[in-house]
Amino acid sequence: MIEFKHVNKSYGDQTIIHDLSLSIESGKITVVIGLSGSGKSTLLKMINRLEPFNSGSIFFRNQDILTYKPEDLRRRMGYAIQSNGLFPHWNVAKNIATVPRLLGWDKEIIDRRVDELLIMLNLDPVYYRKRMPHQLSGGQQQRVGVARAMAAKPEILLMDEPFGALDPITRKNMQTELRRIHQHDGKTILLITHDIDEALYLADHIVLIDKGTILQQGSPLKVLTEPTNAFVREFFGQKSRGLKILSRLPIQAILRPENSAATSVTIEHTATLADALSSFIAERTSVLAVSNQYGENIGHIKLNDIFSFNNHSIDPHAYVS
Amino acid sequence: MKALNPVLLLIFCTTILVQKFFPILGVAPNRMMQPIGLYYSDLYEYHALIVNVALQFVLLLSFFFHLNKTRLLLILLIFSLLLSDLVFICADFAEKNASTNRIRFSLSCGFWILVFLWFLMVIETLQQLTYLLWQKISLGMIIYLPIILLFFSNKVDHLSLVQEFHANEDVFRQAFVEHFTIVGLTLFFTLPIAIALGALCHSAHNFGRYCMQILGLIQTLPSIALFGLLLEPLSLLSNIFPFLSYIGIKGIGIAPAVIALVLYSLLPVVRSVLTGLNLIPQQTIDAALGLGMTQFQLLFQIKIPLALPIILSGIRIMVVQAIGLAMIAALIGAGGFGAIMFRGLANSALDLTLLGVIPVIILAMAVDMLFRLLETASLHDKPTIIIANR
Repeated sequence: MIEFKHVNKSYGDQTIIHDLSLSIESGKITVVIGLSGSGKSTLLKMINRLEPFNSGSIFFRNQDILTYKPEDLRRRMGYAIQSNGLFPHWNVAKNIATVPRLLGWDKEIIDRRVDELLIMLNLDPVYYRKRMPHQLSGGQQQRVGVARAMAAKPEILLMDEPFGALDPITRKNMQTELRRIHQHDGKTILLITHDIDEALYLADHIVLIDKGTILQQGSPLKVLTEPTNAFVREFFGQKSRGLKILSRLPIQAILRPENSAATSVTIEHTATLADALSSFIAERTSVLAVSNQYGENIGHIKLNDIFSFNNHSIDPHAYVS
Repeated sequence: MKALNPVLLLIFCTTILVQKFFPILGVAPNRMMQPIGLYYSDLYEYHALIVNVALQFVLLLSFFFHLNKTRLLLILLIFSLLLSDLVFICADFAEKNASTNRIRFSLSCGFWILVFLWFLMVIETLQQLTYLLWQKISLGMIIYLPIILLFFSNKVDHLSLVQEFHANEDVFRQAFVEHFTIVGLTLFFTLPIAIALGALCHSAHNFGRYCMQILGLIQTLPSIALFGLLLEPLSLLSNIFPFLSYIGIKGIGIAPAVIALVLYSLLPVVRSVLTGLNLIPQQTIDAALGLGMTQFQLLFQIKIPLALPIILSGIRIMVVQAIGLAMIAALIGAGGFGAIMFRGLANSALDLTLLGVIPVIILAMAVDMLFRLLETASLHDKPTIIIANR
């Protein structure tokens, strides 16, 4: 979908992006992660031409982005930013309809699209259409920001630390929501963050950048289990790296389908191994029953299986759904 | 539940002193003679005075208590009564004692000070009400309605101010038109220039710095000096191009007045445009561009609407300032209420002077209120700018 080829950018003698080549695949969530000042935001803004670059080229659908008119290019890419940047003088519906109106859609189609998006983001259209941004909570504003980015059915969604300003619980909810939406429509998403857990949770493909160069990229499990250098290892948490690996693995990996009478404690089948380990310790048990979404018992898991389980025996591209 | 309102109490005490020591009405056998001052108590019949004192006593008591909405409205009603009563007793006294036409009954300093102080108190009381701005303004108008009605009746005809008005009715009308024209033309020319300059200052920092310095410099010039400075070049121009003087552009008159007023008006408006544009959060602009707005769309759909409340407050300051400065433009033959005022001053005719001044005060206040209403309307649901503006 997007292709960086030897892209360089500098302000004076300060290098922001150095010889960066990167390919962003269709239908995947690509997460670019890095510390502040690593150039990750610049990288994103270069795609929709908010930031110019010095050399190299970027391709969107195999066509150099410099050959597009900036407005046309941007209208084909959804753009969501931190603390949402909603237009404070427009109500929710008008905010969401920004790009469709710029594209000159019919009013009825716009209205229908706005309702559709509000419903998708769990906001009741009847109540929220006419709200002004300042009447919404931070989480709701962010939802509207995401809805606005998705309004004109963009070919790719660019998200610049979209959940950075939210409290941890709201942030977690928004992440779950984004995953759900992604599973629903398979939109290509490029998300920038400095939050490691967010990156590990959302990404199909993680790109770790520092000082304008890519240090490592791959599936979350890959960067966790096979860090290419000390910085990457350090970055993804020296001490809690094991837990982070577990958090990327579903309990299906060690599920024993027969029922066990040895426990009364139940865990949901959507949990990760990290959740399971936490439950084992909190409940002082070595066996957990597993239930499906209807609360029916579908088997059990054992504590020891976590340790005997071999990382490499499962597909490293698998992720928790 | 006591909450002493020291401001109101202080003003109230002043009003009592004014009632005691300042003449309310001046009576002179004719225009040339020094008037004899009549005090508050001189004007009243005994039983009317008791009612008046009682009302004022209620007022005094009210300053010591927290008042709910109904009681605040009651207090405002008392102010309305006191004010109209003040005008009424003066008019009534004049009517009853107007045996010969030569006797002049002029409203004295005590009257004007009382009107002013009570006005302050009404404003202060209105502040305590949790109404919206337009409701407060309507309420204020209702309070002054009896006085306005009184002035339109023939009850007040024997007051010298009103006599002066009737004697100069045509001049007054003409002055109104002239004043309105000067201010209107100033606004007409200032707005496009100032908005363009403001937008330019916003995008080009160096230009902005010089521009603001020059505008600040113009602001420091005394208005009379500026009028004088424009006399020479404009009369020169109109001598060279006679058609200019045909359309009214010459050394004296409305043209130099409007040019000078436009020069003064630029600073407040340019500054407000600049401030308004600078206060728009960068992320809002980023979002607008990132979603694919052109610079043009960004300016008209996002920047100007968001900056509007601050721009309007700049225009409000500018118009009020222009209404005042236009008085002085009378000196270079531009007419307006200034002409009446200066004629009054030259003849030491206080009533004539007031005839020029009072409408300007009312005009300035009306424009101020109008623009405040516009500002609140444009503020609607824009929290960022509200915070920035307060």
